[in-house]
Amino acid sequence: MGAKWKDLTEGAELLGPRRTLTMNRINWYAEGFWTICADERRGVMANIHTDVEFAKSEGLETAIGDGMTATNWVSEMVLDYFGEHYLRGPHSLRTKFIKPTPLDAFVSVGGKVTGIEETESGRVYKMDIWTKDGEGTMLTVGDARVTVPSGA
Amino acid sequence: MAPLGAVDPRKGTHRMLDGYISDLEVGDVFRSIEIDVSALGVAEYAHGNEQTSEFYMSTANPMERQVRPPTGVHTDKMRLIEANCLKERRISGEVGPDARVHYEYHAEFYEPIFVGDTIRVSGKITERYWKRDREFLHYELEIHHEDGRLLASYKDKTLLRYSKGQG
Repeated sequence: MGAKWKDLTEGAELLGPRRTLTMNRINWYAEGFWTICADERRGVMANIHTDVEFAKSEGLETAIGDGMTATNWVSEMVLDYFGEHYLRGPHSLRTKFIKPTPLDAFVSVGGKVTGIEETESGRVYKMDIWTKDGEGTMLTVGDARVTVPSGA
Repeated sequence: MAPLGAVDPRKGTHRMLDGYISDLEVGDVFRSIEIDVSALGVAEYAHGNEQTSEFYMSTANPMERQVRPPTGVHTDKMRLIEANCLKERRISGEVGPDARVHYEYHAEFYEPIFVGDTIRVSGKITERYWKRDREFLHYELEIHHEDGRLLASYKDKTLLRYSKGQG
């Protein structure tokens, strides 16, 4: 699980999931979110993410994805490359939702290694991360940092 | 077990607490909560995000414990709000007067959070300001293991009062 970090060099690109933000996916996120919050199985509430008409009533053109869907897809990419080194920490992940991700947008997740630094605690990989729509417009930007311990 | 967060009455500066999220002000310190991290919540949250790694689904992984996705720290904020903004307890189905949009997630993890852990979540409001006709609210949270270890810190920026015309 997640040994792809060994092939990363400064400037290398990371490739994450490529998915269409369907209403099913929006609803899956909502169910998971409310279930972990309530610690019991929960369904979907109407809001700007899950209900097109509600979103329009709030001035949006259509429903939009929750920003945390993008963050989770980015996190999936980082886990894919670093495996348990990502989970054991220390690590950081920052995502900034600079444009809404509308319903049915095609989303690609990516990243780029901006630096690799040797430290006392291990090798620290610094990355820019993003999500883009089908036209290449940035929707989410941010950065991540993962430490791979010495000797790994 | 404390699924919605057991409130610690010893903590908290209750200046603008107990109202709506949009009532929160800089300097508000939330009453801290305790959360028992459950297999149901972790697996369903991960599954809902198509995060099907075995790290999140079971103990059959190299860490031999079921890990909460790091991004789950965002749900700690919602549970903290549930215990502190009593007019807008969204987990209980209460909706406030304004739609909000999450603007920035920034988590620092020092150790993983596992199913079976009891964690203590504390937090405060650090900034509230207008920028380009939009109002923003900043949260800062800390997540400690019940034994006192700092597991994660989380900063969150939310666009407050999303409303018509603010596309």
